[in-house]
Amino acid sequence: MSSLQYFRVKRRAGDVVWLTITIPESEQHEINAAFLYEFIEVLGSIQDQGVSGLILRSARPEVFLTGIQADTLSLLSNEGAKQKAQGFFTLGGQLCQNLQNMTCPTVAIIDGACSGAGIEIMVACDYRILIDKGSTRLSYPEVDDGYHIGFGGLSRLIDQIGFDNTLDFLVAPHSYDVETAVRSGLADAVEPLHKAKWLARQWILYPDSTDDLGYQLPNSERILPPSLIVAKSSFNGRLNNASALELNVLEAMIDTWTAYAGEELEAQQEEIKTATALLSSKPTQNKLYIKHLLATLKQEYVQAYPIEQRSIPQHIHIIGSGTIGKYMTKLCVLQGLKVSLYDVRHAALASVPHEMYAFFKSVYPDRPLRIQQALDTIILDVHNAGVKQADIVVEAIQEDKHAKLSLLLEVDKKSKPDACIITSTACLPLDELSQDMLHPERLVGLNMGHPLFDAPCAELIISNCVSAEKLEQAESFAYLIEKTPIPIKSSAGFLSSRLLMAYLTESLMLHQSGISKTDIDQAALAMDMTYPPFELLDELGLEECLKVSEALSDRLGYDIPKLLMEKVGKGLKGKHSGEGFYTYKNGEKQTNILESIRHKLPWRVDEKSIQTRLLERLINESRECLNLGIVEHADLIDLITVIFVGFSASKGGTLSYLDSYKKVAAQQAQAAKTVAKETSKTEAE
Amino acid sequence: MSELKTVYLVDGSRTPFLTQATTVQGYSALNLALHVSHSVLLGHSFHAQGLDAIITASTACDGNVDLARELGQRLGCLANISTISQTGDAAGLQALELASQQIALDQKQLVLVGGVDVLQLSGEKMGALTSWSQQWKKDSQSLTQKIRLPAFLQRTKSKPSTDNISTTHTTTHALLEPNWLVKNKQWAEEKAIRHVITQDRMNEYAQLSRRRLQYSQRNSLIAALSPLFYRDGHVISRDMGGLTTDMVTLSTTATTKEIDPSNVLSDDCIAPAAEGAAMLLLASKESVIRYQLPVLATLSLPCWSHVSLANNKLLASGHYVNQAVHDLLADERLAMDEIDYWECNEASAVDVLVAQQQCQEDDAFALLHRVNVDGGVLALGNAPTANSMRMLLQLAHTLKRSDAERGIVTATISDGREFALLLQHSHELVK
Repeated sequence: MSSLQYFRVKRRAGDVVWLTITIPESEQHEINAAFLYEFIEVLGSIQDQGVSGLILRSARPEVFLTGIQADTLSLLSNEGAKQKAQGFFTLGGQLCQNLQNMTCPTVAIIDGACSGAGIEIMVACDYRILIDKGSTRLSYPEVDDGYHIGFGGLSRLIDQIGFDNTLDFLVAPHSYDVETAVRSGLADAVEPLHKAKWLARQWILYPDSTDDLGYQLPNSERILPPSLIVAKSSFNGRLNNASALELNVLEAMIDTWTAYAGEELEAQQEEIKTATALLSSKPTQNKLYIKHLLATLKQEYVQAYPIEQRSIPQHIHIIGSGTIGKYMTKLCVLQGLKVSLYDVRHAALASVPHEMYAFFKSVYPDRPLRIQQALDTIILDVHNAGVKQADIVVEAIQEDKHAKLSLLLEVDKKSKPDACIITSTACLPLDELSQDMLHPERLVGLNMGHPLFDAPCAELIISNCVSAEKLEQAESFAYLIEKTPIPIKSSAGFLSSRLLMAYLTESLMLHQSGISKTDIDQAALAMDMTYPPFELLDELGLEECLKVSEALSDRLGYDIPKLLMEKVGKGLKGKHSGEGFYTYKNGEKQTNILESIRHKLPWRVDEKSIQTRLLERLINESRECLNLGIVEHADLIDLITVIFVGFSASKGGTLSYLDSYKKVAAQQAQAAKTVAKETSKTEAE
Repeated sequence: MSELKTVYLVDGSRTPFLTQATTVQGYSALNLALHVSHSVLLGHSFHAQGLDAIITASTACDGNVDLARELGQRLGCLANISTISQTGDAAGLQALELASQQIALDQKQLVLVGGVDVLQLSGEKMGALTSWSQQWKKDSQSLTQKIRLPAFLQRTKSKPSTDNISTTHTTTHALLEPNWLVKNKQWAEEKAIRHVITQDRMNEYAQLSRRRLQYSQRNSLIAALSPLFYRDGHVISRDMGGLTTDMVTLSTTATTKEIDPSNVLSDDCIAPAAEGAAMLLLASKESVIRYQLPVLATLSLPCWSHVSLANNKLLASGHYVNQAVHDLLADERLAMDEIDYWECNEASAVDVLVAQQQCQEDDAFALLHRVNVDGGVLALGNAPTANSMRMLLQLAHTLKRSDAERGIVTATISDGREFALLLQHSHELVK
């Protein structure tokens, strides 16, 4: 065998072969075609060599195997790359088939994250042992992007853990921890590393001891035909929360399984076909395009600033313990930064300990020491003492220009001369905010959006007078808290708030004209928007929305919807006050009886016209932003509309959608022309 | 012998003193200390690693537990650390002395010193107590049940702790220890009888102390208070002196009130047990310059004098209370009238009144308006070790506020020893 790039093969006592995986070019152990070729080659060389068993493990302690490498994926998902994709999946299918057909027992020891391709390879092994630690987590995030790794793993999963469990695993909002994985049958055992190695050898050398292993399928899944099991699952509401992209994958999976239940080879062949079709479908390509944009931004930064050149802050001082202040605290503490949180209102700080405790308890379940360590880095500062020593001071108070002006002036005077001052304003132009400051070059904006979006990126707002050093400092901070910064020129509303408010204002205007809010919400959902507008307004808080709306109205001439002013005037502030456009009880939306029977009424509101108005407004606003040069590339507008406005990722952002719409329209026009020509020809004849 | 270095008080912070037990869901001794330490260190340019030593004192830890070590670990500090832990009220003063000695002798440059006390019973006892008190509330119509409460409380507290958990949360506050309490009360009572201090005068002084605290609170004169934030969402940002009547409070304050051998002392003139923490940052001149630290005051080395209970001759001489103060003044070559403010430990009103009585001939203590001007532990509640630090911190801020030059912190502790320490506020130094 030629020298191996991805594997270390060791034959140890008892003729057990230890296969250690390492993918040097990918930190996350993402696979590519070369890896698959080499794996097949290695398996071929081991087969029929008198080996008693094969143990598969990763050389990197925090990761087993994850998805497909970005370069490979972009190659496979290009238009016209259908054959390449099919070839790749066939290769993977072949590998998993070979692994499954090994004459000796195979054991996978999963130490760290395992997802996508890792899951497919893992389920092709006979036994799976998870290492008992927090970072061992199993997931299948590709479903969220609208495709699956077509190595035949989905049918294997259904065979091994049952249909219901597979469905739960694929649509689970969070990755599975070790306990959940074992409970659902994805793994056979959870052990610490030293014991896992011993156990794997034990199972290979003494196969009798493994008799009691193996997941028992529920009785109904043994008796009922596949179609009935599917019907039962959908009746249980398992797919209610699935997105359109997820549904595409699940539908393909269900079709394959119901058609080829029990016929393993055919089912796996079919999976290769569906995976290829899904990967080359437009919605999936659009979703991958958005992901690719984010990855490119990150990569560019990493290349420009290697880690040793970045300025790493030690102490972050956050002023304002509202929603954004707390969100930023969580992000900083997750990265091990020391945070002091200041608020003039003690009552506002009072809610912090409980919220932080609950948050870190959910992040580090059953790890009290880790929770304590996290909480120890948060200092509730009632005297604003932290401002003097912090490396980065973050202003996160309410959207009030005068309050921000005076605060920033104070921070400018008190903070260290080399400290970077970050404002979290969502709409106020930086040049207005820095007008009183002695050193306006220290002010940078970082708009991360509402925590609800949980955006992987943030808008890095650049004013005219900012210094390059501070900009780099803010950029580095954004990367540190895992928010890829998107450079935006400072202007009213920047990009995200401007587009978001366009969407919300248009919905409010529609509502003011007499269309019910439920109809508008449903129309928005039907056009695959992530957040229906009126629920989103309630979530964001009506008062905050009004403030942003007023700021935009002063500067851009937006209309302030009368309805919004009326609601705020009545003291209805949205979800957290119990009532906004909808009413809420214990955080749950209450359904009005009229709304619940609305769909049974004989008349229908024209959904299409609502959607057109919303789309038009969003697209027009996006084009205006592009014309004004707020961002450098149209791609970034697409990214922001998907992440911060909730525009359908499968449509690929507003401008991308417009392009594809134009293409389709042109094709239609062309077709119509041809038809007209032909008709005139025939008529002439 | 080389010359002693000057000790600078740079900063300090304390929690509100609480007379209610909050340990069931509240802060442990370690968490209280950590909370205050964060407040002290936050405003300075050095990180916790810059500290040379952490010294803590507590009446709430047993000997096996090193509070300072755990505190150092949680602060991320690798300094030399030592805990003084004993069930008396001298631990705080000893910690203070150790810290200032280390700086004066040039052994350390930057020392975090503090005291922490928590009103606590071990979890098991507290659980039993709470469930019992709930039952008692339910059956309160029965007189027998009512009568059983004080007896139960007494029994629960007298029982030695059987917990073997090695944490800082297992032992009981010094003032809740019946033996210590009896001794303390006897001592105060003897003093009151010997110096003919009437109950009325004691009550009057106790009321004065409360009025002063209220005035200071209203006018924001209480210095460097770091509010306590609880996980259930409530905040305590001021001292909660005085007694409340709920069952849990009663359970922790009852013992300070139930033993009164001869009715010489009224309930109000003995400070109730309280929990709280206070931390001070002491520095040498080198550290002050190096880190550009603001200076609150300079400290002298403390003076101790020992008077045993049996030494009646000295008691009769009329100078015993001021022995430590006299020694200190002699050392510093100062006269009584050169001292602007006094902080005197008022574990009982007798302590202050006797001091006043004895000092009249020197005309220093005669006017109470210079003693404990912002109220003392009679009003705040007595957290013995934290109070030592609090007195120093409050006096430093009083000097700064009123632009005064010198102040003395003095205390008489339960075993009869006296303590005195001089604080000087130098304007030149601050510049």
